[in-house]
Parts: sequence; C-alpha cells; structure tokens
Amino acid sequence: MCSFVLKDIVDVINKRVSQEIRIMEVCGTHTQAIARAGLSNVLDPRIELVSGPGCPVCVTTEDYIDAAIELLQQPNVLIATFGDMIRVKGSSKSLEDCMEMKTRIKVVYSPFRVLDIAEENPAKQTVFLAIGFETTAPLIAAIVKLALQKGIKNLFFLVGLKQMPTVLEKVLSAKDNKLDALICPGHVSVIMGSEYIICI
Amino acid sequence: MCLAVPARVISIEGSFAVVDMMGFQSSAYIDFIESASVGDYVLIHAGCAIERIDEEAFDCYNTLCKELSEV
Repeated sequence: MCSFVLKDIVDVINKRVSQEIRIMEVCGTHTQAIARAGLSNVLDPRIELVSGPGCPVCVTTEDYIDAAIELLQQPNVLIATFGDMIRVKGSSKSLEDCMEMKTRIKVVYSPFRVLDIAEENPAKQTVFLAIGFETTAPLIAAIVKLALQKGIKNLFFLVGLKQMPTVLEKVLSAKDNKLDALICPGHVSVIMGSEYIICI
Repeated sequence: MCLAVPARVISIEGSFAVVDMMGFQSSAYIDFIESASVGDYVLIHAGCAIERIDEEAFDCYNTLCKELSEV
C-alpha cells in the first residue's frame, strides 16, 4: 500500500524551506488544484506560488476564437470543443455569446467523441477546436488516424497547438520574473520525456 | 482538460479500452500503451491512456486524488 498522504508531503516541503522562495506553477490545472485544496494555507508562508502560462485555454488568442466564430456562422458547420473554451473571448465575443447557434456547438470531454459527432452528422462539417500543448497533440494525431481508418471525410481541425519550451523560455527571459523554481507540467514530460523541460 | 486520472484496464477492443477510474467505468484510447493488457494500470488524460504505471504508483495517485477531493 502507498504510504504517502498529503499531510506527509506538505510536512516534507515545509521542513525544507529556509528562505523566501517564489515558485511558478506552469500548468493552469495546478493553479486550480492548489486553490481548490487550499494548499496555500498549509504551506510555509515563505513559499510564494504564482500562476504560469500553461493553460492552453488561457493562452488562446483572440484571432483563434474569432476564426472559430466565423466558422460557426456557416450553417453546415458543427463546432466541437473542450468546455473550457466556450467562455474565452475573441476580439468582440465568445462562443457562449453565439446563443442563436448554440445547438451547433458540441462540448466534449474526450476529443475522441468528435469521431462519433462527425459520423452522426454526415451532412455537416464537424470542426474540432484542437488546442493544447504537447500532451494534446498526439491525441489529435490519433483522431486523424482513426478518422482515416473509418473513412470519415467531414471532420476538420482548427489547430491551435503550442509548444511548452517556447512559452517557458519567454517567461524565464523576462528580466523581473524573480522565479526560483517551476512546477513543471507532468503531462508534457509523460509525452516528451523528462529531459524535454530541463533543457530550458 | 489537463487532468490525468489513474485507472485500471477492464477490457480492450481494438484501439479502445474500458477502464475503471476511481469506481467509474469509461472508454479510453489505448493504442499509445505498448502491449496493453487487461489489468494494466494507466494514467488517463482527456479520454486517452498516456502512460502505464505500476501498482504502487496507482495506489499513491488514488490516495492523493481521494485526499484532495476530501480536503
């Protein structure tokens, strides 16, 4: 059985703190998990946690949302997307603001669901909002492979995939970042290997 | 969308597996796991198994996930 419990981990971290330290959680999900679990309240106050740029939804550009909304204007198009994207603003509005076209927005948890949506709606063109970092990219590639195998021809991708090192290099090269450490995105290392982020 | 959850493979059919995630059964893409078989422990991210883990790691993830959900 696993002997780790959350309290033990917090104790180990707090015992090691000897000075003020500023740590950036790169991934937006880390930020959410830390807030939800109230970890800031139990960690040594000398540990300052700051949010990083690793939420693919947060770093989605206005241009990308504008392009998705423009596609949605076409009556034969279905937009399939992760739920997080619905409220992200483009230059003037979000997908959520397009109420009159809401029935053509399909929210998915698993991106593989877009295969079913495309097959269930042969007269429509299904466009998946393919955002994310290195972790999501292979999923998109797997969906393309499966779509080819199944002979699905009405599935398209609006690609907005990004690479983590480029984003982190920008953060770390900022003169006044004052960062001592990063909590790196584990998902990215699962896909790319643990050396991938260290090279920065 | 960036959450990975520990799971156990219940059955496999083609490129997809039925997995048990903390008591809930769900479908997951399994082709990224080399020689996947029933009983394997994996991490599921956005409907896809992205890594095989051992039983000890599975227990640790489950314990932490449970504790975090109860905080």
